[in-house]
Amino acid sequence: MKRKLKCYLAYTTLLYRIIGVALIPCAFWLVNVGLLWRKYGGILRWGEDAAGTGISVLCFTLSVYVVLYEVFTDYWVLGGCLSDAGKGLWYFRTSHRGASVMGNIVTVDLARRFLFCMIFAVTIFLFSGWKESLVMGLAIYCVIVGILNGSRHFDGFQRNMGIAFLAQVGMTLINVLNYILVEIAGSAMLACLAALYCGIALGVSVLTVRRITGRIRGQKG
Amino acid sequence: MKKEKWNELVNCVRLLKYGMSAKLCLGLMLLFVGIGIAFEMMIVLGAGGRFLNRVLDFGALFLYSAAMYPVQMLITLDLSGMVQASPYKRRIQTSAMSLLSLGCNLVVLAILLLIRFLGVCLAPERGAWIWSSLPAVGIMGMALSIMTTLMYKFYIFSMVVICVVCGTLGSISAYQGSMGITAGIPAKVVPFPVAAASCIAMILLGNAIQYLLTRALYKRPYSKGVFGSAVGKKFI
Repeated sequence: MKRKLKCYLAYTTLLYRIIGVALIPCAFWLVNVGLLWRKYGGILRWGEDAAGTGISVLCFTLSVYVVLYEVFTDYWVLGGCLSDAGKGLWYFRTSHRGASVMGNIVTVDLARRFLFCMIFAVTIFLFSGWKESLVMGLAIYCVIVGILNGSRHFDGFQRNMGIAFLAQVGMTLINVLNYILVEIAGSAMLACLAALYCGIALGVSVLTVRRITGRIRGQKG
Repeated sequence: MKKEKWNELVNCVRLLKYGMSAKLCLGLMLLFVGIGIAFEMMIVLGAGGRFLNRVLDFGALFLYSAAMYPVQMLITLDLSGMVQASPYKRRIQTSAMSLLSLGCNLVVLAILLLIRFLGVCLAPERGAWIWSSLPAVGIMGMALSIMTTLMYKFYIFSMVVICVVCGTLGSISAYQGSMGITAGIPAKVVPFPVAAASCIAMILLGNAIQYLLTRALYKRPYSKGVFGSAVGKKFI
């Protein structure tokens, strides 16, 4: 793990780590906690009818922002790494360990994204007791990683920005679909969705690492 | 404006088709226009315009984002060595860019006015409420015009600004939604002529600021990261 972190710290710029990894996510979590505190007045205060009204609107709006933020700022670090020109990746081909180093970087990057999504989801759960938020956290991660697999083929800020805006629409649709499914089928559907998103999250994560390391090894990804 | 200068501006705009990934940009622009119109119709026409209470008018956001694409295509011309060596370079980066942006913004405004007019026809009792949202739309257009200029010169700064602004607007929207703050007739209803005039004024002001910024920042090179490796691929 230490080696993986070392690779990530060596690849990313200090400015990105300060603003993109620490400052904005922490500010987002604080705002999230502030909003939930204002609504519920404290954590673990939920009874039978936990979440109350309006929680879905709060979660959906913030989840859309998480997707926008992650897709938008990805261009700063790994943007265009799957494109033919492969921003920055040619450099890794000169070393035998290039692929494994890149694999380490992408793994830590994915872990960071997963943490960002799940801390957001768990905070909502702790305040409101709304179990759907945990499934939503997994769904956000799946959407982000899925979209990044596509957006990293485009090397250019204007196209990346377009994809980030479109990703919001995709996240909204998935949120609405999840909500409808859980409303119709209840807890059983919630468990199924959780299992499904866990599987997808694992699948897309492995696929992402393999595709990028494959690019360095010279395979068509 | 002298005819000669006008012709030069028109020539600059004609160069759009040689912009980087012009077809892809055009496709994205049309997609954004489609999504924007769909959102706008849902917001304005659905439930008699009651969804207009949201902090951010997503329909207008997508439409104005679509209007940014031609400008971005024009900016990418700067990567070409021929443009760099041409006397058109300055005009492309300053007056042609602002003129194109103004034209696109006014087209978007016409679409927004048309949809709102339809909304008023369908729900006349909420007419004043629907027109009252126009100044906010104008402010959004103005902000995006200014951001387009800054984005290519100060890439990281602009990225942070966009993330912070979107986060703030999203948080306000989330707060309103979670607290059940719903639309009512606003305390101050803006009449149509005032709303439309303020909206147009904001757009014009935005483009005027954009023009001044392009003139002021003309000598500053575009951020390297913005164009990515496409710089090497497309224009050697």
